[in-house]
Amino acid sequence: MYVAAKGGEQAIQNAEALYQALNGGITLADVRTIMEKMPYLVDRVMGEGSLYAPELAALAIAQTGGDLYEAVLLLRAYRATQPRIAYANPASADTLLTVRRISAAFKDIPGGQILGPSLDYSHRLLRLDVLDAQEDLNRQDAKNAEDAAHASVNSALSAVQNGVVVSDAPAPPTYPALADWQRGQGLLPQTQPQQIAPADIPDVTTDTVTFPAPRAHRLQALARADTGGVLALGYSIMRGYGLIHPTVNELRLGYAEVELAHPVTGATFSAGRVRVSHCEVITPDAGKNGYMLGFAATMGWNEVKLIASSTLDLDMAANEGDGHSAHSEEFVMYHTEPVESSGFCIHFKLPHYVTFASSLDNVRKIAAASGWEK
Amino acid sequence: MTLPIYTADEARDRETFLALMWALSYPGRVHALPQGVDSMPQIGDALLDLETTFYTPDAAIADQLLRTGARALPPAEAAYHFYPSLDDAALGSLAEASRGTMLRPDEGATLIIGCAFASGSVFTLTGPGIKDTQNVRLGGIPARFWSLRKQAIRYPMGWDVYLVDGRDVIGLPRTTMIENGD
Repeated sequence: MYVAAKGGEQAIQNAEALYQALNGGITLADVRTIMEKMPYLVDRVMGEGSLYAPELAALAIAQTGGDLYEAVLLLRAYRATQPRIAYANPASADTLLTVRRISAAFKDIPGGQILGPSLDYSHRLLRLDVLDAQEDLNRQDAKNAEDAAHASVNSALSAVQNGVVVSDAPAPPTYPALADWQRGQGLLPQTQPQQIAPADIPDVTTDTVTFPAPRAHRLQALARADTGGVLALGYSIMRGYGLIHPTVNELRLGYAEVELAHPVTGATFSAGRVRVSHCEVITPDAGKNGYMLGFAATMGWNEVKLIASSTLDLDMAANEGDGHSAHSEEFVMYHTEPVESSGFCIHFKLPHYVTFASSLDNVRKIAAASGWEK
Repeated sequence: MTLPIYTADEARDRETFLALMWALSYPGRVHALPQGVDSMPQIGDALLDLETTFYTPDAAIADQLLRTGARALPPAEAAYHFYPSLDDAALGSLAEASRGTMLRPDEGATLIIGCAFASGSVFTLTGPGIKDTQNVRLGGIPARFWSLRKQAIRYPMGWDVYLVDGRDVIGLPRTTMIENGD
């Protein structure tokens, strides 16, 4: 009988009660504040949780006190209970409602560089003056919270602070894909979209993953990968363990329409917009005259994850099998999986008393048989 | 502990799922499906969704199963088969059901078959989930079904079977050995 892990029920209940007492309860207002004030954190949890649900992601963050691996686990567990009710049409770069779109490869890309919302060019100084102001944190009225719950491009734009120069004419909502122009110039190989029924698209969330993985599995795994995990492996390539210098060909933040076919009429309609981002990195193709692309996309806006992921995608394609861990699909996909990796890591704090007792028993037997003294 | 709140549909699907789960856990024991609904479509509601496939020769059941979003496929490709009764034509379709592969035994089909527990021969079951032996009385199952099942099972490949009589369900996983005890 596995007696070693029995008992301690009261202590376990007390541990959770103490956690709740130290962190305080959570309220709807807390969840709304996280949604409104920490959109990049919410995006990260939605991306890694593979569920686009800002309110649920904010709730998961609040409920776990900001422990991101726990938050992602909560969202994934919830996701697992939900049936897939429809397949949306694919979103493509040239129809994305784009708010930021930059290229490090060319300055004058067709359609132009759109910096959009970014801290890239900011002075990295803590705004200590904020701490001086005796702001009443509770003055957020319910209306603001309600707006945040229905955050859309329009409310985001109407909420811009002083200092934003509003143009007379609105910027174009969509921009052509830079890679299409490069294909036209013969710099990149032509591609044909694969015709596949939605139900037949490999799904890394339900399929057994085998290697070499279908490209769909690889891109899905990168989309839901741990941000820190892909950064560590991607950075190892960038720093010199890889063979390529990733040039950011195009990085986009935008809103994708969730386009569905109406179940009765068959007409295409949009069920809403979701924040998405995608990135391409480009490098000369050693074997051919031209270049090759690495690609990654995710739900939410997460630039560092996508630059690292698209670099991994490119390096895995170019250098698979050369022995470096970050070039191996198996290594990258398994070790950047946030729930499996964090879950395996923290399971080691669960009782292993029997395993350890067995090992201790062996050590003592060997010591006794060898006549070793203490 | 936080417990989820179920809608009426969710509660019924969950009750169905639990009955099916226990039926496969303890082969041969009768488990009860929810009251007030037709068992075959109700099993479909619990097990099928957009990402699953089914086959049934029964047009009325097919209409109800299609509402789950599941796709109707030919017998050889369908993951779930629904047969209100087993005639020769049904046995012909059933014979084509997938038994999976050594690499993917989970692709073996699940067969849901209508029968009668109050009549017919007594069969003796043995295998995992059964302490010693379990006797069941099964009517309305042609002898050919048992030979087809035997041919289909090359463990870990094979079919998992639910036998349904009204609200009662019996599970026969691919691990269960069955003998006619007349």
